[in-house]
Amino acid sequence: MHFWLYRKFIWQKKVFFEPTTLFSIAGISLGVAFLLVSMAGFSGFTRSLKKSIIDVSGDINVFRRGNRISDPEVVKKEILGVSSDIVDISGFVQIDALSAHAGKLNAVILQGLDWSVVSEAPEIRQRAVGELSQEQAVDIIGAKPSYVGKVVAQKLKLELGDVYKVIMPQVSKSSATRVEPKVDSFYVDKILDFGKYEFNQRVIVVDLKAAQTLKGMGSKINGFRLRLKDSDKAEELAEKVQDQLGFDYSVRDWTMSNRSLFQAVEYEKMVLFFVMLVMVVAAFFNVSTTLFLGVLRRYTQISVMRALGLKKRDVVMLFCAHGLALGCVGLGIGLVLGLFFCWSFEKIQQIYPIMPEDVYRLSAFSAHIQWNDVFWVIVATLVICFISTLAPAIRGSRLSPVEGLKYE
Amino acid sequence: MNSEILGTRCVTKSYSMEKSQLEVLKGVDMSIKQGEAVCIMGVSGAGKSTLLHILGTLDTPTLGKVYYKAEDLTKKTDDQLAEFRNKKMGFVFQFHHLLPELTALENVSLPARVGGINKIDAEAKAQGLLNKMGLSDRANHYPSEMSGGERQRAAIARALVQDPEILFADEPSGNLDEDNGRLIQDLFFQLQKDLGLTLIVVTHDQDFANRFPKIYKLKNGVFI
Repeated sequence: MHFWLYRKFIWQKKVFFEPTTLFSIAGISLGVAFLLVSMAGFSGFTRSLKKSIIDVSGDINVFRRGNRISDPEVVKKEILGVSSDIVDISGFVQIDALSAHAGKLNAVILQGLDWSVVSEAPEIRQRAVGELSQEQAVDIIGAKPSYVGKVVAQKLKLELGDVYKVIMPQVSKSSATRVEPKVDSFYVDKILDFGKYEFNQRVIVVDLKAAQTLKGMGSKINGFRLRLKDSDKAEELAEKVQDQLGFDYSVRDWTMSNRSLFQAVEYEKMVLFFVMLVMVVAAFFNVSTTLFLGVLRRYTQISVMRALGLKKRDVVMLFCAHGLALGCVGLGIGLVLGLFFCWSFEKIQQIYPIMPEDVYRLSAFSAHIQWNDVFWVIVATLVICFISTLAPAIRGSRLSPVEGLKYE
Repeated sequence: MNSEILGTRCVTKSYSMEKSQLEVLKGVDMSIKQGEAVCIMGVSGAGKSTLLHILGTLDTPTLGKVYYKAEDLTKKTDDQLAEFRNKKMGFVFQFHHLLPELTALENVSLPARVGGINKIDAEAKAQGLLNKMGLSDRANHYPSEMSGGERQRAAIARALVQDPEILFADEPSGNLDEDNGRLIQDLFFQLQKDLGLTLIVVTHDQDFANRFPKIYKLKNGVFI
């Protein structure tokens, strides 16, 4: 390949700044940028969903089938022995209850967790949209602290420091037809955005002991919540924990709870990749046109060079190199533009929520750029680019030198 | 006696028109010996440029053969012919056909670089030829910055850079004024004499043609 000839003959400032060239590059750049943003959007959606689920439910949940766990310390030791990838294990109690405030009722899931751990957990702190100061909390008497999902707070008109009731309907021991609700008071210590609509509208986090007392279950717990070093190993580790504990226990990892949703998102991401790729293909029609024009405009010069001994394959390579150079410039600008759009997407979302939370089930998500997505965007763009340059390049090589030499 | 360097046997060239065939060359036979200076003459449309292009392997005959030292050139592939042209033939066209993006030095060194010679050697050779053509101070000028005569001399230098055995020229002085035209014509004969080139020139200029020892006159696709 005569790169020097390409540099001298085709890749010049005046060629680069021609409108056809600029439009070709602009088309590729926009196509690549939107392709990257769409991929990053889906990856961000998946990541936000995953993080939300893991923050609230942990990587793995362990339950005892049909019963409560009465010997938590023994089971805990057994689970910790399975793998060193388990970074945290904490018992929890989960209660379906009603919450009441300002004349309004809302069905909630009361999660009882070790308060010393929960109150310091970074994933909870990060999700706080409102927090009561310690001085304010001291003034509240007769109620226990709780973290409330932001939609629960909206529905019950709860503000930080407000005291509300949690009601747990219970069948009377004396008569099966009588219901004796158990009631306890909590105050709002933090309002949390769990990131997932279902959690925001139902979850209230309280101290483990408060939940155990409300449920009257002593020191028993409903299950364990495990956090792992690497959430992607959850499925594999869940199997190991299941094998260790046997079938008296049910072990569920985070992928199980929303498997169909994750699969749907992956499928949609793939479909969108190809849809957006059509845009890139369309942009490369411009490159083909630019190259065809270049071939026609340089007909005489190609003929002269062919007369001087330039081979057909050299002509093909000259124009392919030009197409690839245009494609690479467009790709480069597109990637930078895509990264900028992803960054803007996050910033815009912080100011204007662009996703209806109750429709998309997530209150917000950031565009997440995965390097394998970038790799496939680059590969797909370069392959399309190469194919689009072939036709004009071959056309250029097949021109009869005699015709081109006839005219000045 | 010199042997044949280039020859044609029954060369026919025809073009398909909408409803008929246009026969430009009708069974042309010619034999050109090594070191010979040959002129192909004829009126416009006689087929002389077509014949030159066939001899120069830029075009293929519809029928017939073209031989280079008994080797049948019509059997070579496109890429083999490109290499053959690069090594054995030099071309000077009516319009200088220098590449406007390249300087005179780069234009002259172009065939050498296409032929795989490195930049330094190719440009050294090109500079020598430019000096010989009286263009030493024009080496870094672009064609647009040169006069018609200078461009044509640069084109001749380009045709010579690969030390060809055969030099083809298609109306080389046809686009120049009388003085420059005469200068270019003299240059061709000087080069042919100095370098022992085989010179094949197409012209319709009778005065230029009269200076050649051998003239092929074409009329309606046949020699007369």
